[in-house]
Amino acid sequence: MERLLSKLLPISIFNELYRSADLNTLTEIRLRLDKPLYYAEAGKYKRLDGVSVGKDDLTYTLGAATKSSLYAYNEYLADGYITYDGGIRIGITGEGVVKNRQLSTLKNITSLCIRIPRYVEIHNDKVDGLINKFDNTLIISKPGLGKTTLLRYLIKSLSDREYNVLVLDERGELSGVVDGRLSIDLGACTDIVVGVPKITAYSSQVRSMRPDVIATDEIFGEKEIDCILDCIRCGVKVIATLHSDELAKVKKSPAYSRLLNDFRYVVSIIGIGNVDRIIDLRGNYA
Amino acid sequence: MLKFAISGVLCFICAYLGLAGKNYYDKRCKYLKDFSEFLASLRDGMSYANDKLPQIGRKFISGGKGAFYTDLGEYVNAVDNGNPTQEEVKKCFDSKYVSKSDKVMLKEFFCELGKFDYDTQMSRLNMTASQLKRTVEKAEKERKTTGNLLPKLGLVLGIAIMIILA
Repeated sequence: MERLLSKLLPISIFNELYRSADLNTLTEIRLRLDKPLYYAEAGKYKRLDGVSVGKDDLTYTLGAATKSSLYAYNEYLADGYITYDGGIRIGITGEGVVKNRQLSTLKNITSLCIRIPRYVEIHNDKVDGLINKFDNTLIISKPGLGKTTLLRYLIKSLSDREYNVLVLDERGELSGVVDGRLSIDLGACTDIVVGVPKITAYSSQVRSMRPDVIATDEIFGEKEIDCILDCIRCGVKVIATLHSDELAKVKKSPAYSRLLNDFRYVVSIIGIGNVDRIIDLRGNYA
Repeated sequence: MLKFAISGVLCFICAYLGLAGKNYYDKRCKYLKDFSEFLASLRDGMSYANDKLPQIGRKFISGGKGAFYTDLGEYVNAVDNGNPTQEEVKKCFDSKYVSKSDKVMLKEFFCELGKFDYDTQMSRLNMTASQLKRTVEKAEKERKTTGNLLPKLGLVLGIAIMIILA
């Protein structure tokens, strides 16, 4: 990670960060134009004194993140993020460029949010129990509390138990696949689809890859819910994450509550590797 | 005898300089043609597979040898290691086989490469390609005329020196 960050950040910023932060627990770096740099270690934000982020710093970082290939990132910029080596995801804000009444890209970048993925071994009886009695599982929490980290752990654990796990990784964040290279080990029986819109991937890959389990991050929208329910109907198990701070809110949403008819477990987490509770929707609480 | 030896050495030096001159024109021509081929492969990589610059560069480098391939390799490494500055890019393409104006064209192109959206990048690539086409034609013409003439001139000059000294 140290090597990747040294490539990604301007040397002056990297040196300061290297001096002040613990790169092994670093989870996020926030660069905002003409503002001090903030970073998060194990989810806690700290301010990097003595560093003010300039326009050149943002331009450098964006150039390094796109590997001097901005032309290949138009659509990603319009979506507000790009993925760098090692599954590092960079959220971007700036001025929108609209063509034919559609957002085509961003210019005059003002903020970059660099999120660093980690594979964390989760030693937790509740999680072990979930793996042993595996069924359709929905992981919920607020952003930044470790849904993706838990999802990665579940994927690898199931894959190690020889389930064929199909990972639909539209943004390359789960697997850290960039330019065809895998930087996070998700197990020997895992197949990874990167860069394909999830809605397309559900139907085509279920037929072609015959997965036992489909894993996907951040369910969003009715179309995706329909696809997931279709997969479950086909007999494929699904593990997915959803942004929500509590199950009651999911139940209130007409769209997302449909998932609860077919998902068996809802895992609510309160920190990286820290499971609050696992709710068995068939009646038992763990 | 000494005179004969000295005149022989001078004749050899003149012929060698003539060949070195021809070599420069040959290498320059090849360098610019390789650059032109790279632009074509860049256009394909960008438009068909939406590949990133390092991928396109490495694929191209694996298919040939020469000064341009070496310089491009340095540039690709620089891109892989972060975001190269203008000075670093200039250093990558500071070849002894190309003229000053060629170096300016190379520096401008590679400094701007990857800094624009697809449409703008393509239009800049096409502009450089058409400028390069004219440069290659000129370089080829110079290779055929001046480049081929230099070894002959060197040899003639060497023989002339031998005759004068004799």
